[in-house]
Amino acid sequence: MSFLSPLMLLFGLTIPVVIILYLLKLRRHVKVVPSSLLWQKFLIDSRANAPFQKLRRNLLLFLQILILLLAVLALARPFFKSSAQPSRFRIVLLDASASMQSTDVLPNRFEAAKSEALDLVNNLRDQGQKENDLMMVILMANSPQVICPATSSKEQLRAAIRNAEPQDTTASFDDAWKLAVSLARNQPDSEAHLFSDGALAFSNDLPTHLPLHFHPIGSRCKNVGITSLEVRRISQSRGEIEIFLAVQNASETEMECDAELYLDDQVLAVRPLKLQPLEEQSLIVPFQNSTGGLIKVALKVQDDLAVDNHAVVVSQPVRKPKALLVSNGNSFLERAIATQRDVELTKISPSKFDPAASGYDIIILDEIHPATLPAGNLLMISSTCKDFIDAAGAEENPVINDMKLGHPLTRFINLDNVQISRTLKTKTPKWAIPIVESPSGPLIFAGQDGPQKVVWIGFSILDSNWPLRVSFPIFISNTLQWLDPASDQDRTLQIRTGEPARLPFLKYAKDYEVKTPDGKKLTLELPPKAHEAVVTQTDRVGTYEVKIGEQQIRFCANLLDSQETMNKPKETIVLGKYQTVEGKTLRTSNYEMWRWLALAAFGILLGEWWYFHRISA
Amino acid sequence: MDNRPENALLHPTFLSKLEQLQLISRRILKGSQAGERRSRARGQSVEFADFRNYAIGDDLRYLDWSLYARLERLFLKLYEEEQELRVTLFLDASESMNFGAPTKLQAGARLAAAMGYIALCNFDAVSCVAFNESPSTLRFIRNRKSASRLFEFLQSVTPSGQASLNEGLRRHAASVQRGGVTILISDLLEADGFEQGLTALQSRNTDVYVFHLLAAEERKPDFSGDYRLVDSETGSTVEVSFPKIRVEAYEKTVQAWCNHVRAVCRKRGVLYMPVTNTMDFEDVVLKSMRAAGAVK
Repeated sequence: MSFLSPLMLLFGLTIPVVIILYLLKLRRHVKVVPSSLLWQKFLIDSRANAPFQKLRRNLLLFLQILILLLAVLALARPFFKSSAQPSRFRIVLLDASASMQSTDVLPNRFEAAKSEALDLVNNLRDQGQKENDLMMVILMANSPQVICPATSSKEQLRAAIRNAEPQDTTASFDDAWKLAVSLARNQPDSEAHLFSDGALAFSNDLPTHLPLHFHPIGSRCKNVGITSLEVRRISQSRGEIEIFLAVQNASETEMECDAELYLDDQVLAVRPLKLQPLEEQSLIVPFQNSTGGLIKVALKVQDDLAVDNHAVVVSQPVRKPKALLVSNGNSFLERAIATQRDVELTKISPSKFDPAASGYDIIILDEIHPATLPAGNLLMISSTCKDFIDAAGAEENPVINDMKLGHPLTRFINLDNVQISRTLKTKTPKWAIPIVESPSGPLIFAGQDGPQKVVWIGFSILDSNWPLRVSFPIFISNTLQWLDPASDQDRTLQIRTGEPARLPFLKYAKDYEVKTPDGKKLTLELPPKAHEAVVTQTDRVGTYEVKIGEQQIRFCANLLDSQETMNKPKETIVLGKYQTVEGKTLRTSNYEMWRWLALAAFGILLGEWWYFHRISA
Repeated sequence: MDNRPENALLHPTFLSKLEQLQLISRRILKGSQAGERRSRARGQSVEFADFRNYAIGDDLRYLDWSLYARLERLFLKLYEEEQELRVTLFLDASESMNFGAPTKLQAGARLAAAMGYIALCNFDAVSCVAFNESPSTLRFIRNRKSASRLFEFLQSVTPSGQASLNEGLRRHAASVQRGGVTILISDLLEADGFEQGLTALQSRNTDVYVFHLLAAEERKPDFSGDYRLVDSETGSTVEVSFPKIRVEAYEKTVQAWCNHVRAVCRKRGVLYMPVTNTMDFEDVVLKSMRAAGAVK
């Protein structure tokens, strides 16, 4: 055993002072008794019955000396050296997900987790330069971040933990765990400590050979949050919009709240909600707007988690997509397109078609084989383009044997009664997926090659009975919606926190600026030949403003995660298929002993107080 | 209830009850004067004891003339002589007896007065020794009329100094010539004990009664805490930390000591009676002592 502060042992000189004080202090009452004979007998009997009676006579003195000794030892901070024991490697997994901002433990769960993690740091063994414990800290947010690499420096660890901040994202335990397991692979005696409320998703195929200690954080669950928010444009021409909203009550008690909807800070609607325990309610709020704007939803409720009480989406202004139909004349196709009121259609003959023409959102090539590919999204019907889609002959009477269900193009489509007499043969490009297939190849495929979306139909619709089927106009409608760049924008301008925002731009600029919801300004570099700007720092809920050259883009990041909203603290977590990890309190170290000594001194002090009052009663 | 007149040791009604009692001596003793007790001495009484040959000088009045007529030899008829019992009241008057309410000495004096009065009523000779550093003695008195002298003597006893029981009893034993009964009334709080004195006394053919008199406070102390206890006789001190929880242990110690004294007495055939100063005095004399066989 050695001492970190051996000078403090000088306080041991106070022990004789206590003895002197004790000798001076004890004043006995003087009493005359008939004879001291009986009392002497009594004392002898007492000593005979209690071997330590001599000690008991001065028990208070001994207790006080003991307390003083323990206090002096505690001040000297003794610790044990155990050179035979290898150093330990600890990995701290600090949950920084949105649910950790819950304020059921003050100031919030994340701060409580940091506090416990700091305790763990304090209990690392200091045994000299070679035998120190190692620790590293991984912040579990949308993706795991190593905020402190493996080190034995307590100061470095403390600073990293103190500077950690929670994020408005979900936490990926799986990624963090796999990272921890890989980092601990070559370290002997390693263990992981998870500081979390347990509101995490756990895969059941995780490796379980690394010991995990779970430190549960949180005391209760009182929360209402928005778990879904979507804006649907019913009709572009009429500007009809529907807001779809889902609100979840995570509490085990009934909760009441008001859902307030704003369009650019103008109140659209206020809906009072009464939610039963664990109930999720959906709201659909229709309204008309053609100018677009920011649609905000705020829940007015007193709960523990604020980050899921508001969400915001960008509504695009109404704009009809421009479509160019290049065809030798196809009335079925023209009629099908004409039913789409929201499309502004231009028809030209193949001879007038210039592949370099711009200004069209969608270009429909009907049995055209241009030498170069035009810009814009493409619907190619029995068309090919050199070096892009090449046909390797034709196939007669192909049979439809498979259709990709669930794809936006195949919504409400049934091709059972469609017969095709002839189709081009080709292979599905790598960037596309087959939508309708025959045994020898794709009949229809769709995909995105860089910024360009392409739907390819291998057969002329006039070589089939499809135009006579109900599925044909529906398919054309689905295709035009899918190819409409505005639908992509709706999708790309709403992301979940932590997900990267991919923003197509009009004109390349070397740098672009991002203004985050909390007012930070970031300047990022756009790689050459990039066709979209990627913003990865989206860990805060709110509206992000991006400036690429002269172009201004706004996009929104929302939590919208029922797992984070359901922030009930868990006592156990399941790791892998079978292993259950129970929450436990922090283990304290056996090596720095001063806390134990101080605790013992305090206990003895209480005992001395009790004994003093007992004997003087 | 104590209803005796002021300054009187014993109440007259109680005295009349005592007159019915008689001290029991388990030995047949020799007195110096005629009394009402059987003795080994042959003398004048109505109880025939034995014959013996006539010797010159014998009183011719005790010759058995009927035997002379039959055997023509002179025999003398011997009768048991009834003699007095010599009762010595041995009262501890050391400083340690000056405790309690009433003091142990007062209680002891009353006990001695009762025992002495019983003896005087039965024509026994009573003497009293109040022993401490300077013992005072009341020489043998006889008959009931002398009881007042005994009472006066007992009332005049004042506690002071130390008393060595062994020494006092040995000195008394040396003065005993014909045995008798010695009634020892003391708290027996002597470092040296009292066994040697008892031995000396018994070697003089003396029947001994021990009244072990303790104050109630001595059996169960009425204080607790840290004390320096000063011995009233020797001035020696003992420091004790005496919490309430140890009262029971103290009582056990006192009881063990009393049992030891009782065992010593029983072994020597000495009648032992524990008495407390606060006990009902009449009950002690009329019931407890009768039950213990000290009086009948």
